[in-house]
Amino acid sequence: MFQIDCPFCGPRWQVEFVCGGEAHIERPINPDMLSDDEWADYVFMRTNSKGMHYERWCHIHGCRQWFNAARDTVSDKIHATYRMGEKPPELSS
Amino acid sequence: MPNKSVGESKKQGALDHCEHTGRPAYIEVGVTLTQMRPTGLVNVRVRPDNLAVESIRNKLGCDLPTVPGTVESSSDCHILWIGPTEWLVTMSSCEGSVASEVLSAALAEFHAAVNDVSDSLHIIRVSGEDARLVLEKGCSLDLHQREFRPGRCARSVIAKATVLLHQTDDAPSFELYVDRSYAEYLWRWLEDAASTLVGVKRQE
Repeated sequence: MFQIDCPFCGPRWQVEFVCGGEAHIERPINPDMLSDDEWADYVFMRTNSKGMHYERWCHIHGCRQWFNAARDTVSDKIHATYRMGEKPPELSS
Repeated sequence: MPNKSVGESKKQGALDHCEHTGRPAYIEVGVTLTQMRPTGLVNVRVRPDNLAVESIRNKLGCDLPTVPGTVESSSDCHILWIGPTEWLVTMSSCEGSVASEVLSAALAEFHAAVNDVSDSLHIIRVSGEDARLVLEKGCSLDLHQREFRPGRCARSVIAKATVLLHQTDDAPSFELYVDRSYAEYLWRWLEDAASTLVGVKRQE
């Protein structure tokens, strides 16, 4: 059974969660000043890393909270989970 | 025959017809399913600072639980922890509309949301010595008594249905809060899970 450690509820089965894509993407402060390419990069382009990947997850069938997870995309191992607003831990894949 | 006396509501329940299916299997295995009739269920969202907790304590005589997965109870109400800023308040002495007015008044000065969810949730009580065995067939939570005791609650998935599970006593009894549209499905799944346990027990 693949478990995810919710920062609020503790370890739970993966079916209680949904993934919300890459984490730590900041909305540009002044979108009007961006070129179309820069805006498209913000809206659409995501890293497709082999190894450590920081992403957002939601405990939708549990406490309904969003949080971040550092997952290795090769082994699927989740190395850390941390709350929204917290800095990502320093990890090497 | 399952107990129907909890809360004398005249509303029709989603499970009224299921209680007369007459399948005796779940009685043999020491599990009783009961459709509960709560009178008031209210979903509350608020940041649990000291003033908000105190205001609710003054109105209901019950604290907001802030430890994840715990329940605070008073004589006529339970407050179940759903998330760090979300709770389910169950009142046995008044209708949901009255309960939500009481809570709205208690939280009038705070940034809060109070919603009467009495009609959207159904409560199924699973009790008896084999209740854990039945639930464990469809639920990944660790329900062993060293982990899950009376006064604990957890929102999770049982047989693909999202359920808020609350252990109320050592019988053990569990109350499953499930969306109304899933209630009959979950009831029938529980009946089936209990009936297949008969075979398991006979083989032992």
